[in-house]
Amino acid sequence: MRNRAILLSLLLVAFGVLGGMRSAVSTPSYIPFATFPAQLGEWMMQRSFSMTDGELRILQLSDYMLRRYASRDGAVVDLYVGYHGGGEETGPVHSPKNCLPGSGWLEQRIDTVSLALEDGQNITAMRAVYGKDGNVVVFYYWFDVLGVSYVDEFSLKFAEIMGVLLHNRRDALLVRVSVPTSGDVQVDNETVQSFVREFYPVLRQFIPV
Amino acid sequence: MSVVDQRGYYWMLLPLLAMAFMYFGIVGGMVDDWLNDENYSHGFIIPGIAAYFLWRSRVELVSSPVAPSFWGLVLVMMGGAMYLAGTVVQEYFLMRTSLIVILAGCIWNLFGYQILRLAALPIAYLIFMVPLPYTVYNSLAFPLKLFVARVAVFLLKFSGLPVLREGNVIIFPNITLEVVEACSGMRSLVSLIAMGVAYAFLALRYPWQRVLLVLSTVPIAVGSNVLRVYGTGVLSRYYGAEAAEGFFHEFAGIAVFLVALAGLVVFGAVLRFVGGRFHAK
Repeated sequence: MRNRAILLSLLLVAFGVLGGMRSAVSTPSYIPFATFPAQLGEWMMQRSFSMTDGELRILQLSDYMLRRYASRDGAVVDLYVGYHGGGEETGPVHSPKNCLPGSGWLEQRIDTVSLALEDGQNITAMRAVYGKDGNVVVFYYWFDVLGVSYVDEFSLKFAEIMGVLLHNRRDALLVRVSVPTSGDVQVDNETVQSFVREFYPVLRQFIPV
Repeated sequence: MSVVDQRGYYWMLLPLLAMAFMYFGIVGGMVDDWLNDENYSHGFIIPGIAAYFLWRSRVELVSSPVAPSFWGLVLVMMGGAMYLAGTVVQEYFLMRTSLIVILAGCIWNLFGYQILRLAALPIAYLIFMVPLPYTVYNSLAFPLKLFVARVAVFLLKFSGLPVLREGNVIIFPNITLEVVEACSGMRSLVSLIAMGVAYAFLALRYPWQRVLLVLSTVPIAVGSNVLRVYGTGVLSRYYGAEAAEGFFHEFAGIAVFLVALAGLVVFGAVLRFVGGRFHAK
């Protein structure tokens, strides 16, 4: 009995020591969104919104921006970027798949699209059409882990695990660009794509991969 | 040879200390979650209930023969692999559940299979103290919460009260309910399931009764939450916004959970009655 107990304890202590060698995940330094440019190519910021303390307490973000940009030819997009640095104090990314219906948006249609950037890179985004109070809005959103886009919650989780494993980082972004629907899918796509082309490379400078 | 006449049993403290060393930080983080996440405030009583389960089978435990087995080490190694994998990828659920596997492995290793079988329920019950990953929790509980809001608002309208619903957010003329919870799933569901499992094993004998009782926690949780929203709606109509905020809000949460527990007990009694009749034949 004594020998068994000692052997077992040594094994457990060995696990504990091995586990204890693991340092905390690194939270990368980033540039705060407060300094994010008001002008992105043709697009100018019109307004910036704040979230309530209650909302921030639930979301546990490292940083966020909630802005409206308008282009010179009159198109308007609403931008939300939530950044979770991955440290103890930040919570998980909240998926619009829950938060939108939770706040009263009714899903009408949902599919994925590919947004082409200028450097040839593609962003896979969820395109979700939601209606509320007679407004129909198309939300384009994706989760971004180390510069790769994901559209479903379980892939995001997997990407975060791989991020920790390979780069010791668990930071993730939720990017959501929404436009009131024009009724023409092609037009909505082009509006969002033209915004994302200007916006995404700048975002990458703020949150390095 | 049984547990009581085993000499040198104080050597058992050594593996316990080693486990404390392994899990000190991990359990601390979990206790933090119990404190801060209302979905998991029941975490505190889970080890207590598990201990009660263990105490209930104390007579069998002390009279069971001790037959140490090296098979237990296989389980310990598996738990250790979970622990290390969880630490490497910093996945709390994996780290925390490894505690349960390692505990089972230690008992198998030191006391043998028969005692492990007797302790299986209390050990497995500890799973309820581990918060589920957010993604998993919400994929289960979020649709239920939307359903609760829909039913409650239907009932409120049916009673002739002016009310609007936007998803989980319910808007009365004088107050808006649950705005900040728009993206979270139904609270109290996991707590109620944990209570249901405890009750099923304490009060019911047959597996079919236990399964039915645990399954009943879902409609009971839904029903009691509908009641809560409906009740708050009615009260805020007559007593104003304070009926839905502050002290009363907290109180209603606890009261409704007690109502749900009562529902569970009543359904359990029905199952006992039916089971008694059925198996007597």
